[in-house]
Amino acid sequence: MNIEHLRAFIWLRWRLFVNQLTRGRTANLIVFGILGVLAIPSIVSLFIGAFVIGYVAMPESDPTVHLLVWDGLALGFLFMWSIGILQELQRSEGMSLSKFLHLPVSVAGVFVLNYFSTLLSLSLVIFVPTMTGLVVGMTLSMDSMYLVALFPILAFFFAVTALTYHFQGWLASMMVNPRRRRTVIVMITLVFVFFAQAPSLIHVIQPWRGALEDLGEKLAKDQKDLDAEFGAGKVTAIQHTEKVQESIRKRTSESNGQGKKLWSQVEEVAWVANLAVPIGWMPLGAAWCAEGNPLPAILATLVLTGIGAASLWRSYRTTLRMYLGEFTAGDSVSNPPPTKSVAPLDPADKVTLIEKQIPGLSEYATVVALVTFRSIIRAPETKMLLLSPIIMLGIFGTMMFRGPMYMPDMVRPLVFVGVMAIALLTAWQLVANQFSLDRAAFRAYVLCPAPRREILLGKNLAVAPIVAVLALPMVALAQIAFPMRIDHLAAFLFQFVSMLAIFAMVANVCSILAPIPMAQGTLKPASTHFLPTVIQLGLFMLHAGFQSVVLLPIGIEILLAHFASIEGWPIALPLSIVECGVLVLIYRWTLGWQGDWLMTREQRILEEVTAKTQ
Amino acid sequence: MTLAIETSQLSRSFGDFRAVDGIDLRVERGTFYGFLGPNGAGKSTTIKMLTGLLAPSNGEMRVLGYNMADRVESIEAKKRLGVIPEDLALFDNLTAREYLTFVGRMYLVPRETIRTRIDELLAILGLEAEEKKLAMEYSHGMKKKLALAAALLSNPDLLFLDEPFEGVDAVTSRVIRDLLAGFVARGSTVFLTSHVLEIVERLCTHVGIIVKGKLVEQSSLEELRQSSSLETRFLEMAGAGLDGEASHKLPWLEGVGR
Ligand SMILES: Nc1ncnc2c1ncn2[C@@H]1O[C@H](COP(=O)(O)OP(=O)(O)OP(=O)(O)O)[C@@H](O)[C@H]1O
Ligand SMILES: [Mg+2]
Repeated sequence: MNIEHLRAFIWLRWRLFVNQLTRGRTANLIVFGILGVLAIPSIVSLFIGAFVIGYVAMPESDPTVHLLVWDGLALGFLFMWSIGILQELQRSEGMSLSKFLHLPVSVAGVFVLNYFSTLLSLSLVIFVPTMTGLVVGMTLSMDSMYLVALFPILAFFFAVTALTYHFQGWLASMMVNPRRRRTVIVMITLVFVFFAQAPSLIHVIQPWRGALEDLGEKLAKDQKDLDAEFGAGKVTAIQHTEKVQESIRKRTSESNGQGKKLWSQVEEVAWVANLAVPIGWMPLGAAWCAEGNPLPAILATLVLTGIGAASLWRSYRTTLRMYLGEFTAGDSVSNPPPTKSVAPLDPADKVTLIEKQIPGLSEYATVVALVTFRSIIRAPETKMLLLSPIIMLGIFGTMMFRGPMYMPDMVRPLVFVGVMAIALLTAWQLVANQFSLDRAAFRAYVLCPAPRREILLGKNLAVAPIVAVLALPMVALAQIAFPMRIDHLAAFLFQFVSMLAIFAMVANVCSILAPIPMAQGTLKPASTHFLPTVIQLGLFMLHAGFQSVVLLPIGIEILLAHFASIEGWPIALPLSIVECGVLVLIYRWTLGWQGDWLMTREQRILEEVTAKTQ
Repeated sequence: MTLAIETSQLSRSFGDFRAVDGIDLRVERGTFYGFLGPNGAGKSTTIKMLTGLLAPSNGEMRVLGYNMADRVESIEAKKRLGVIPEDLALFDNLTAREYLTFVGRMYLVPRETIRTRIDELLAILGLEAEEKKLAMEYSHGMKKKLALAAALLSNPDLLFLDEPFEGVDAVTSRVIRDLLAGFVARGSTVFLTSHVLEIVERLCTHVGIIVKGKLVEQSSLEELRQSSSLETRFLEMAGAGLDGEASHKLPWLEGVGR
């Protein structure tokens, strides 16, 4: 490894970046240009902002506040950094070491270079100036001793980046097998989602509620008692005023006492927690520096640097072993022993999913529906999409059960429409970009002799059960919290179909008009083109507008109840049935011309979705 | 009887670049047509246009007598075609058997026939043991074989094969050659591209050579071989012109060390 290699490597990175930009359209260039111009002022202003806070606000505060500020920064960085890692994992091929190892450079050299190139990330661009600004600000306002805090901070960044680098290397070795690769990505994302949920859990539990929220209540109660006393003529006006003031003093100091108790609890937990996790030693060191004791900072620096160095070393060993072929992460792909017993040709033999018949559907639509459904359920990237409503379920659930919320009978169906909207929102990507999901597979559709309307119909039908499954848990939850009138519940079934029909019509147009190529095995756009993205967004919003049509039946019922006092009649149900029928007819009609349109556009779409990227 | 393939002035440009430049193909039914040309000559682009994967910029084409520019007729043609496109057309997340079932049903082959044919195709192509793997777990050559199985499954009248032998092992290659020879002997048509001239020489009855988007030769193999061997003719046409002198052009490549 010499300087020439280094220059070649940096040039390569730059070239890849530039090619990616210029491959896109001018709009991309403009957007990136603006971002680039904005980047430097924002870095500077981050630094200055942090500097001012460090100079003005921080010196006065108590050591625990220092600790918590640094904890916050550290957590913020970790959060952003892990999002970056997730995105990196999704990318089909990064700058893999294997692309360089046949060149005459040492493994160690490539390894170190590759590590440094992972440092070019947004998270570091944001957090390094912020943390540095804070330290410099405090140093100037307090004590030059505080500058020592920079060391644990740098060591912190080193430790985190090296640890994740090691982790990524390990994952890479796990993901040599493509099927396992996708599973690993899903698992990691789920773990991440779980951690991202933690704050909302804390918010639901609200450990501080007891201590702080009672103050108002107690005061109000005192006031009421005293007012009653006064009203009964037991005390004079002056005495009354004095007593009220007395109560305020007493309650406030009580509450302050509770607040202090809570604060001391927080203090205790914060310091212990920071001690327990080595990553937390950076905030500890920084907080001690504010107290004028640099020793913990130096210790933290040593430990964190050690962790970083050890991770890099182990990662290097893993890399070496992997390329020398000694690596065995998990089991090797074991070939099943060749079984000679080919599936018997007995007609009574089990009919597999792909062989099933769906009554009332053409052979084409049936098989397209089955195959699409199978692919969506099996592909980890779409499977992951289907898990995302779990988050919504959590938020939704806590919202509904947090406090008793009054909801009139009439409004309840709206909750259900909202639930459906969430499910459709999730499914949007599956249909609005349906030809990009399995890139090469679209070629099979272009080659096949099926009428295009049948292909669209099949693909739409495949998504219907998925939407149903997405919506079902939330619908059940809503039904428990705000039971609907039975006729409204029945009407909901028809609304479900109506919403699906509208959804399919708009999303089909979107998929034919503005396909966006996806990176293989992910739900990430392989390249961002301005126009298709705008069209997708526009149609998405338009779709939301169209969906409001399903509110008509219940809207009419509410209006009749309000203005004509016609109440208790199941008006929404028949209207929903009629509306559903009309929408299904419209859907069938649009399928016809959408099919023709697809036929004329299919070659263009194929070119778009299979466009070679990187 | 109409021709299997007939094009007139068929062209395709990418931006300013003419990948295929006004070619007139004539392929009789029952012929084994080898479509040759150096890398980037426009072979795959031509096949894509003929199979309806890519719209031509200019010109006309008839496949099995159907006008491919017409929506209704192109569907009729597609019912009778089997294709291995350049980058295949597999579903990452389906197993071999699932994929073949899908293809069979899309050509309206009855279920029991599909089952029998899949068993036979997988067996003859040596994929039986792998039928439970997903397509994305297949090796390069296995994917090719699966694509061939899909192309044959509906018993088409005309096969378009873009480099069917590339990446396929010697045993399977032999099997495929036998299959295709039998297929043509029964009156069907094969249109294939390949870089392996020996295979083309052994299998094909007719040859077309495309260079830089232009069709520079189209005749029966016999006619062509009367003057010289296929390789000599191809090298002439493709304009290699190095005549074993390539090594002299890079003198520094000789000897040991630097
Ligand atoms: N989508 C595309 N965009 C731009 N240029 C393309 C595209 N597809 C093909 N080309 C160009 O068209 C020319 C012909 O490509 P084609 O794939 O038909 O060649 P080929 O004869 O099949 O070559 P090979 O033997 O290497 O497979 C090449 O120069 C190629 O760069
Ligand atoms: Mg080619």
